Amino acid sequence: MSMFPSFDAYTPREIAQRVQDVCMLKARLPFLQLVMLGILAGAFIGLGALFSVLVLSDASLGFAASRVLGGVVFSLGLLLVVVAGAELFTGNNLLAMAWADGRLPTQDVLYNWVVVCAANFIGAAGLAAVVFLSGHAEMNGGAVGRTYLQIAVAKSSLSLTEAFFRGVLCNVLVCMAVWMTLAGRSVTDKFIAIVFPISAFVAAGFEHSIANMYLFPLATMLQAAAGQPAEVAWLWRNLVPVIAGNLVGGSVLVALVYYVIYRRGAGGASGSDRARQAPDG
Amino acid sequence: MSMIPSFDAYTPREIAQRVQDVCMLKARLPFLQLLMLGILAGGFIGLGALCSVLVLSDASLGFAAGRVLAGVVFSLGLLERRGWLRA
Repeated sequence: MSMFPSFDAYTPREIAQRVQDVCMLKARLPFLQLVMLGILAGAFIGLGALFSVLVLSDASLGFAASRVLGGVVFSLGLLLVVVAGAELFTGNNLLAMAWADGRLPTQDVLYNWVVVCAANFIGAAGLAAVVFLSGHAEMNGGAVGRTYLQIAVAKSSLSLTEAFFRGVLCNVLVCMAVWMTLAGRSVTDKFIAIVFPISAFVAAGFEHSIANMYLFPLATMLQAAAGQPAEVAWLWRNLVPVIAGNLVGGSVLVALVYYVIYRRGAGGASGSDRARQAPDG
Repeated sequence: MSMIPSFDAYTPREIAQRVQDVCMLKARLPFLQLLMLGILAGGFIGLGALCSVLVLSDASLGFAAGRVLAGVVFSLGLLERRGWLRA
């Protein structure tokens, strides 16, 4: 380590070290903090989705302009999570890296994922309730509300396979965005790292489980308000396969792949670390 | 804490500390300064809203383009306000 401060972005190898260090801090958060940060993350991602749907509701935009602009504005969500601080289930799939290194026992990782995922749901569905009560969906002559309903129908008519693999692709991009924010030092760095992966996954129509936890409850409330039968089949038709896909994409295709490349045998966790934690995991 | 100065952005925990510190300064501002800064902030946010309405007045923009551009130009208001408070 040099004694001089560096302005350089962190190298990929340094990112891997930073991800592990951050994961250890995340895994040790007290329950109340974890839940509250999880609720915030759900609401933050919901705000990104809200901005995105606002753009998508404009039928006069061409296909590409609508998808790309709708994706760019969605970046708000992850920017809030990364800069302001929150615990997001999809990003926390990177905990698999510290697990693979033997620094986190399996039950700690699963505990974090379950608590954060549930808290994200509370935050996202809570935001949906507030947005519903605000009458925001009536904007653009009601087109915003109709867009929520169309999106919900399109998402729940995906086959389980499609939902799963769209979830995989989505979280590869989201976890790469989180990964790259750890290369950056400034808020500007982090913003630039976020915009392309996030706008790409939104534009491509990939499935983000936490964003869906905002979109589906809001669509259900709008259906109920319009006197239509409220549809809740999305819980198992979409949310379950998408959560599974997000898990595989983030923890296997990003965290474990980079673990093998940069961390395996790097001496981050000594053999004694592994042995010490063996009784736990 | 390292002795090497860091160029990294403040962490969320550091943000919370800084918010508290700034709030203490704000709460102790003398009346005349507080009032004048308050008048400026009203003016600044108004300028942001002015730019925003300028964009919204263009009926030829589509819904999304009009809303998003109007939102982006409104940022002027908070930016000016923040710059002033730092000084």
